[in-house]
Amino acid sequence: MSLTAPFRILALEVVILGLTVAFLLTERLMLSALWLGVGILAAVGASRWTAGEDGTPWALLATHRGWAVGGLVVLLLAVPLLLRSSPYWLFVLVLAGVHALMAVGLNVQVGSADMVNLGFAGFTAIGAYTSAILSRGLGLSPWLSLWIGGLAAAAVGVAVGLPAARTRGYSFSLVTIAFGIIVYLSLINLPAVGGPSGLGSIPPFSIGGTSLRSALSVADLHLPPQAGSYYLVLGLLALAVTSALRLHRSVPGLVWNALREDEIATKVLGVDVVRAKLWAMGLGTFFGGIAGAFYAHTVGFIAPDNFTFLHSVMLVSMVILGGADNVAGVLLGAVVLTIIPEKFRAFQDYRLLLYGVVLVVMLHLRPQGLLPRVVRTYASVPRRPEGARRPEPVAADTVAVR
Amino acid sequence: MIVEQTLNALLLGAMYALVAVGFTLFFGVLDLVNFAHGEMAMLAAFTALSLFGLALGRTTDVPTGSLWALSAVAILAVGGIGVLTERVALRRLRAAPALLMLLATVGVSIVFREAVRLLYPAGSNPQVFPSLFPKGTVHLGPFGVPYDTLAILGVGWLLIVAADRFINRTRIGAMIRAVAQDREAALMMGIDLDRTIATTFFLGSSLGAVAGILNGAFYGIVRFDMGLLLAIKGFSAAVVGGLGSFYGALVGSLVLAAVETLTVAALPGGSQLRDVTSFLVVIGFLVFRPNGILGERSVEKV
Repeated sequence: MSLTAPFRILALEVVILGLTVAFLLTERLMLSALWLGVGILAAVGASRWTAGEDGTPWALLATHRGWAVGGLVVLLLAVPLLLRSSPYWLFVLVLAGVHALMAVGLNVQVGSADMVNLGFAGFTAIGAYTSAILSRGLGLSPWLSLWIGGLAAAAVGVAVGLPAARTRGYSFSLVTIAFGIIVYLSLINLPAVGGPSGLGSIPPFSIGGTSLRSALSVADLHLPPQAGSYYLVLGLLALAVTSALRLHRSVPGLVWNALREDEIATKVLGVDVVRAKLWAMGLGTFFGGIAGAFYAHTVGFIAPDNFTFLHSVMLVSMVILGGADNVAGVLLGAVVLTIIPEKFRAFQDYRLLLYGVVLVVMLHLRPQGLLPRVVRTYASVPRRPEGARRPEPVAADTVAVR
Repeated sequence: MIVEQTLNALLLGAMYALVAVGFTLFFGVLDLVNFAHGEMAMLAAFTALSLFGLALGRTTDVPTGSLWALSAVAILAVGGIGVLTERVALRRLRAAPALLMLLATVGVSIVFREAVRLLYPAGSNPQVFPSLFPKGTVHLGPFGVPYDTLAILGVGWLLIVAADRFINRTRIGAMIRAVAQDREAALMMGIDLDRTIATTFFLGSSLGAVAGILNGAFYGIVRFDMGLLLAIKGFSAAVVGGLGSFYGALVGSLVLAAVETLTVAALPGGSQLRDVTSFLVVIGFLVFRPNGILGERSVEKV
């Protein structure tokens, strides 16, 4: 049993990732649909095969975390090799990574604390423009300006949060919508930042004088120019996911969940609600700002039209359709909702129309998200021997009130 | 000058109010923020244009009478589209968290917007909309006011008053208010929930449709993407006034319209800044009156 468990996990990961790559590489739409069907069936089958008592593979993945994470990292690192023949799809994956980075940040607000931020694109714009201007105008290294962009976005996030923390529900959403539109309109009307035509020739990330936008070749391996950006966004994503998971498991994550379940009860318990909300604003927008800045240096060109209300809505739908408050779900949502519209490339003009249809249909088919929120469990001993009874799950709200 | 600007503000206010009333009604019966609502205005304008084209063979220089009749048909048709939207895209999500319905309405609004862009001939370009009112000016003492300003003002506010009468004085209106107040209690009183919600969507959507037609008639131009900003403005007006309150929606619309008219009139380069200032005012209002100007002071029980 102990020998087969890691094997099963690796098999699960290979199946899912392999089918994803096959799906990406299939240019004919009918064939893609076929692959998608096979992929879903195989993924469901494989997760059944690895499922524990509760019917999901989570328990197995948690007990053999080293194998699970290690296998995933190796497989993800190998993806550019598999996609050598189609750099376009590698670029789509980089874009998916940017969206995932933004969605992980947004999830802190929308998923954990139920602060439905519908102006997140505005915050990512702050990060992107700050970093672009610092590196383009002042000659700062993108490696440094990236973090300054994140900090700038976080500062603005907290500044908006100061008044916004007084509101909640739809009022909070409207404050963020208004902020997002103000940022968009300001960018358009400020000639200093390029106005409607945006900012171009933003310097790329470079290592020892070699731009990350140029083709990589290690020994005999020739990787497409997008590989560098792919690895960098993976690194940033690893950082963001690690921090998000740690936040989720620690007191701030618990406080945010408590806010979501019952703000008054949380307040009564003596939690500083405004401070918790400000942390959610600051941390979430920090990731968003870094993602925006990364996008600016990777693509080399940003314009106000990259940061519209529609983008904010798409980010929220990635969080919700992926699985609010479940980091793995949010990543999946970001990847799926980035790849699907690109697959509709064949329909050109009808792409956005189909996106709308897919959004509505998915909301109906899977309202709880692709990977629903997991009920928090607290075990006295972190690693139990296999076959031992799991303790009864404790709902997050019960814990928070206790 | 002052009279002119006041009339402008009232006119803009009427258009926002026609949209905002829908937001407040939908929020009342379904706790829903309907981002597809702005598209109703856009759809009405484009349906009317198509009807003009189909029935009259042209969209300019047509007798006012037939324009009015066909516009009325378009408004009723859009009311039907609103009902259909709720039936197809929203009804099954009623039990789910409110955010899902909101996202579904965004999906629907994308579908409507793109459908018009792709299906209407040269739909990506702005389309000329005929004037529904005779040209000319009325002289009120020293002031000359164009007919169409006056007519749009009249029609807009008349319909808002009619909607108010309908909601507050009729049996169906009482059903809508009952569902808004307490859904379960309304069900126990024998009110047909699905039908009441459908009626609400017909009412709200057709009022939004009127806003779209008046908008087209006043500015002489309609665009496939006019709905989104109108939706956000209508939502803002409803929230500033107090989401769920009919009169709140009117007050909020007037506040928003006044701020925008003032910005355009008083600030240099004001027409570019008008949306920025109006949204800044929205933020300001929400911070100090999170429940809106006329919103109920909600006392929360623990």
